This record gives sequence, structure tokens and C-alpha cells, in this order.
Amino acid sequence: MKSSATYIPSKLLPGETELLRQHSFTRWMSRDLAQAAVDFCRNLRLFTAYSETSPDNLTRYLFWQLPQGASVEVRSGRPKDKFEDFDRANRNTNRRLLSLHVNEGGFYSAVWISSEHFETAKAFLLAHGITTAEVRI
Amino acid sequence: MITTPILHIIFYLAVLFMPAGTTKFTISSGFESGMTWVHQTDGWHAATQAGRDSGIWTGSGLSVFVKKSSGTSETDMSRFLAVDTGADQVRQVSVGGRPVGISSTKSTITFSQETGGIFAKPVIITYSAD
Repeated sequence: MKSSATYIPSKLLPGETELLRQHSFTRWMSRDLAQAAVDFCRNLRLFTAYSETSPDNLTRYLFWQLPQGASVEVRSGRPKDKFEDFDRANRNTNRRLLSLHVNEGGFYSAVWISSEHFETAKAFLLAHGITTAEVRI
Repeated sequence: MITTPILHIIFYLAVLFMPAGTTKFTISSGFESGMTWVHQTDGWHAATQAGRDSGIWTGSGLSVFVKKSSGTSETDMSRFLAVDTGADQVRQVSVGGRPVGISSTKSTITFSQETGGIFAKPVIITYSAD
């Protein structure tokens, strides 16, 4: 059954957090470099909190240290129908949509996190001037 | 002139190919033999074979950060490193425009290059876990 949810992407807030956010983002990376960067960070125990994909298919990330016991799923640059499939699957495993970026080409980049760790992740994002995504069902 | 940060490149590649559960790795042969990184909560603590502190190493994305008493430096690996993933999902790494040969065993990885590359003398990393 298809979802009828409405998704409100994360917002990048102007103001005093902007400098920290810009400093914390990775550079824009090709798919190959991005995959290497994600693997490198995973081995340093860093995981994606937020990602964006540009219209020319470059990706940038904001990484953070996951709380003990947390689980995340990250999907970057996916069409809407695939994103909705991932969202349903994550909701079924008790993960909440944490952050969402939708680019000009309509490609979705999203991060889900285990529900019990959502508030911790939300605080991290807000410290970097990024709002959490909203789902209205 | 840009100096190639060989130790940073070794750290990046050693972490990129690190087996799960690794808590310590050492350059057991090649450039800076004996340099060891040990995982602690604030990063990877590096020390030379003689026991000299070489800072706390961390990273994010394509950057390597080294924190010393004099401050923290950031080195952007994208200036030196290229990665291609073939259709067969095999990852090919190049440093300085030259392909890096990568071979591994359960607890070691070897980086090598043709003459002229920074790994012309192969570098062997040995991983261990507590």
C-alpha cells in the first residue's frame, strides 16, 4: 500500500549556527569519493546526520558520533517513490525520519535514526542550524 | 610547492580499509615504520616507535585532523587521493595520479605503487584488536 504521508524537508537556518554548519559540512563529492568518505568515517565511528545531493549528483554530508546503541539508515539521491519505500521500511523497524533534503531535480537524501535516539540527534542538528524533517500522515 | 602529506595519506587509507573491531594499527614496514595509532575515545593517538607523541588523529569526510599541543591542523585528502569503484565494486585508489596496489591478509594491508609513487617502497599496516 502506498504512503499518503507529506514530507517537510529539513531547513538550514540562518544566524549564528551558520558558520559552524559550513565548517562541519564535507566538501561536495562525487559518488566514488563520497562512498570512500562514508566508509572512512564509519571506521572512525562517525555516521551521517544530514546529507544533500546536488543536481549534478555530488553529495555532501554532516557527520556525527552516534550515541551508544543507536542505529541509522542513510539514503542519498533517491527518487521519491524509492524514498517512500525506505521510509515505510524504517518506520516498521522503529526508526524515525531525522533529516531530509530534496534537491531541484526531485531527488531525496534522508537519514533515519532509532526512535529512542531521535531527540539526541535533533539537538545535534539544531546546534548546526538544521531542523529535523517532518512527516505528516 | 605542495608537500605530499604521506603520513596523512597512510592514516586515511589505513582507516578506510580497517577491519571491524580494530583498536590499534602500526606501520610495520615502509615509511615511518613503527608509527602506531591507538584508538581512544577522543580519536587515534599516534606515537613513534621511540614513544614520541605524534598527536590525536581524527577525520571527517575527506579531511584528516591532527591535534597537538600547538593546535589542530586539517589536511584535505581530495588534493592527493582519487577513488574509483568499478562495475565489479572493486575500489581502485590512486595517489598523486598513480594507482595504488592493495593487498591484504586478515591482519595486514600493503599499499604499493610503481616507481615514482609514494608507495614505491611498499607500506605495510598491521592491525590489531584488544
